[in-house]
Amino acid sequence: MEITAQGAWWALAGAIACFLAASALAILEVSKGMRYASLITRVLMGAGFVLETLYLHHQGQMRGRCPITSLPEILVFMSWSTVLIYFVVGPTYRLSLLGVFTAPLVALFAGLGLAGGAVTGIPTPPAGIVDPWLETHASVSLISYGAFALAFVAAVMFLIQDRLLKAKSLTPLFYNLPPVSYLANAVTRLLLVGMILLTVGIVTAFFIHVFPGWGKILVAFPVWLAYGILLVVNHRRKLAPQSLARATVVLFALPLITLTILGRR
Amino acid sequence: MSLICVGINHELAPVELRERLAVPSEAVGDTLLSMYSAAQIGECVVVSTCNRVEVYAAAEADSTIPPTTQVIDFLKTKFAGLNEDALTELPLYHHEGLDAAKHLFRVASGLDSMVLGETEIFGQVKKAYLIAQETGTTKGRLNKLFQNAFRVGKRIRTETEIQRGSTSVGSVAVDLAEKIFGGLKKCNVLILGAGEMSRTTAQSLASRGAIGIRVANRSIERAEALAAPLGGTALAFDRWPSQLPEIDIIISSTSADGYVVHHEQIHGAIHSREGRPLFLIDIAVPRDIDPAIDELNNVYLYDIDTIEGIAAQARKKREKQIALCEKVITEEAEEFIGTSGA
Repeated sequence: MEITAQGAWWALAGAIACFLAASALAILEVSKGMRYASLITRVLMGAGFVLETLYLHHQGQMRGRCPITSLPEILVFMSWSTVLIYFVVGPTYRLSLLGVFTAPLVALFAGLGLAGGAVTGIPTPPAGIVDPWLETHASVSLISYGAFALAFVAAVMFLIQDRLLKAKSLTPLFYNLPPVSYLANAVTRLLLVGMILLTVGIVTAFFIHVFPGWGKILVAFPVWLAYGILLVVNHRRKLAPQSLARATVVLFALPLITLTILGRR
Repeated sequence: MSLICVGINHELAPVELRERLAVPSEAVGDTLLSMYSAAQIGECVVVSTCNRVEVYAAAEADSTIPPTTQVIDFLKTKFAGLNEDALTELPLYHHEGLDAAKHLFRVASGLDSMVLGETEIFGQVKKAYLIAQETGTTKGRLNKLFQNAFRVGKRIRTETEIQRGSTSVGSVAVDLAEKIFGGLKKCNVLILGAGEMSRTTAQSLASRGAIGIRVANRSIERAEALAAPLGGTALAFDRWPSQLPEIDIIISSTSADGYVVHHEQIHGAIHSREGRPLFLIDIAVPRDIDPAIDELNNVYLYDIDTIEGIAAQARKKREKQIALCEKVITEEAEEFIGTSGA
């Protein structure tokens, strides 16, 4: 399927509009005290995902490889990964409003990517053969960041709901947010999914035919180590969900920092 | 054909009278057939719940004896077993035409219930209609009336907030528990003391699936008396702290002067709970549970004032919705009468 650069631009802009609409509609309904129907969110997130896929397809054709060669492309791929994890893993937890809280984050990533020039009109294929292990390493590692992003979202939702319960503030948001137990479970499991994917991403790096150098590998390692320590401590010491949620929120800064480093190299 | 409604409810009659008129669900079919042949009515439905007994009927307008009188006479003779004076003073109400339609719409929407906006009545009215349908005592008129009533009930639920929020201590406790634990099917409940409100709160939780109800009281006999109907177990009061690793919800309502649940007890038990939250409901006055416990991570403490406040707020919000609901009901009833010509 041929998509022009202009088409890719509009696809990405349309995706951002879908994500923002998902959030805006939910905020409107919840503020009216209504029970929010998550079907609308899923439809809009789904539409955004399809449009982002069209953009990635275009960029992939321009690059001749997985389109994660610049920071703007990486940000859009990150947005796409987060939505992918939301659809693949999210339904297991039946968390109402998860899509609503995820939408602004993915819109932000995609918006920054679009503003940073994520759309290329000129084909720039790589010199030489594209190594599938390199493609796997890079893409799986970034998809793991999508899982960490969703864990971040679930942790934020947990902290909000915990605060509402502690403050005895039974607002419409309180009634629409999921139970704190469900959110705490989701945080733990999403962190696990992210860790498994990142481990696969790091391991596949050692199979790359032309080793890219320790620089790019070491960038992901602190992320892997930090989340790994958190999961081990949580398992052994049974952290209070509040502590786990706060750590998850703070630790998400690490993948974001590594994204900026990856985008420059 | 005229539409009529005759009934008795919690507002007009005490439970001792209502229970004598109530019709068990297995006897509704026979009652309908008796009324159908005894009174000159073309169609009838009987709605019998703990708070009301009502007959909805459609009858020929030109009957020799007014249909309303026939139904009232039937109710008096068939259900009462009361003396003449009591029969004369039976506090029955009756509505006809538009008022009958409006009354049914109000009942199905929970506006006529003891707890304003309660939703159980919708299912009860539906069940009563289905029994009448199966018995063959409904035809076009009542079929249309009841179908409209269900549609109005759903419309009231989606377009107004009359059914939002919880208006009793028990239902607020259930809402909060569900926002902490999600499903309550794996939740263990401990009752400290044996107060009536503890019992009703535990009953509300049990009705949503909470299991493993344990009752601790200084009198083991009172603990057993409270535990038995709830399918729970009794234990000596001084043994309750040993339950902390397994318990998810504690409801406290003792007559103690000071705190019976102390900060150190809960703080000490947190690690053994493996990250599971703990929900404490303090119904006692003076309070049984040290308020400082609420500062602990993963512990949620609600006292009686807070819960009553939440319930009162919900009741106020529902009351504000009455005017909107009445407007919808009047509009729907007038349309029904206009199209069906009662």
